[in-house]
Amino acid sequence: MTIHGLLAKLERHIMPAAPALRPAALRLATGLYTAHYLGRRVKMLGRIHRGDTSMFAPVGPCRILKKPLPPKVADALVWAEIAANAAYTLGWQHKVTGPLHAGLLTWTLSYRNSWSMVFHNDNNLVLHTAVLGAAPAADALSLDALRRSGTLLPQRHDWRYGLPATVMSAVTTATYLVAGVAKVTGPMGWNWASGEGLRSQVAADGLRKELLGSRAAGLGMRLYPHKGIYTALAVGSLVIELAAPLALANRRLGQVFAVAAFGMHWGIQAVMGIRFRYNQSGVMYLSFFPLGRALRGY
Amino acid sequence: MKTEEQAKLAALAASAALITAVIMPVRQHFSEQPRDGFPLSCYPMFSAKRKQHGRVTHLIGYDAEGTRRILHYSYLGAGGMNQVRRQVRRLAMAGRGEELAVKAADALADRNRKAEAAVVRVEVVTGRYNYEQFFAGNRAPKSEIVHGSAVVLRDPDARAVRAGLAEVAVAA
Repeated sequence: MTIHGLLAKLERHIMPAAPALRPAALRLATGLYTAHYLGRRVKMLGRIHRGDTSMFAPVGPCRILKKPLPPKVADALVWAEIAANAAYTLGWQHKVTGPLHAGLLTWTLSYRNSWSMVFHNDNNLVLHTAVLGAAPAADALSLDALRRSGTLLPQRHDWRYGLPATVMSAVTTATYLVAGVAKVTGPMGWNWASGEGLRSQVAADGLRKELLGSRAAGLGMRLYPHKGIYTALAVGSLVIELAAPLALANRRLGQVFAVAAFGMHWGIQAVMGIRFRYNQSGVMYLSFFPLGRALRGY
Repeated sequence: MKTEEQAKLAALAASAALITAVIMPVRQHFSEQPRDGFPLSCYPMFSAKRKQHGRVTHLIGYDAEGTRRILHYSYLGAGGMNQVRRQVRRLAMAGRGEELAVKAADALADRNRKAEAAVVRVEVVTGRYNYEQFFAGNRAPKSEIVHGSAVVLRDPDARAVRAGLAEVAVAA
């Protein structure tokens, strides 16, 4: 195969000519998830906005702030984001509301994470929304599609509809790779695979939960004396994280990775009682299961 | 007007820039003082090396007989357990334990839950525990520092008087 042929094959792999349905389904799924996630947290966010100002440690775009916003302004931005998400989910004026929603979601969750604790389960939601907000993700299953084409499922194929799922999957695997590198470059190095680090993390987390009035995860505590099980869990986690980029090589490998990572997060909840909501919802891995056939020979 | 090839190149460049940005925080793992961020994070969770002992700053309630019980973190603040835990530790270390204890006592009186009706006093403490012993059933701390203590005032007028006195003390 010539270099030109190889490049053409790579191009079809990264940006296949896919139906408009593909990014539209991802838009709907992320939008509905965000509506559920933020809708249940409006009150909690309001209380955080009124928290002790000495705890404010801005991250991400919020680093432009020297002190917290007046609580009412912060509340108003949350409501603006909820409205922008509704427009994004419905696919109304996506060229404007897509990027607007991506920007406001990034702000809202960065501000929520600017109070002495970064919650890592929100990262991929923000990054995936940025991809879909900037992509033509409302050319199907949307008010825009109804207005323009008179149908929710216009029969259009384009590389612009194929690229977003590839980029979302690449972003997902990149975050796992960074998390895996964190473990093997940390104080335990490759000894992290022995499971001792994970086991002591379970103990630390269980102690905190017990003393702060939550319940420690029962399975983690029951498994605590069995060091061998923690070794198996640690090795499994490292393989999933460090090998994550291989998931981009082909669709089947991607789906194996998605199922393994999804299972790992449910396992973390069972053993440690820690929830990664976006991961456990399954929405995070939908880009590995793209809807609609891509055009062949494109 | 962009040609199709130019549009593809622009989309690829933007995608590559995003993926590079997501990977770049990996540099923090080679830094002396790693700094986490959002939404571009270095994902340090679960990577720390832990000792045999752990310290936790938390809230204890006492009934009239002096029996102690663990109280829920939400009396100390909002935002989820780990966020509250970090905030409480920082405030206690900054010498604001009394203030935290009063806040928790007032929240407990306000919520007026049946399960905590017998609690008459709260303490903000940092306890040091041995993991192995704790999970083997020995729940007693190896050591404990009390940062602050407050009586639970169930009468709103009494709470208002306490708040007023605290303001006067701060002003003085």
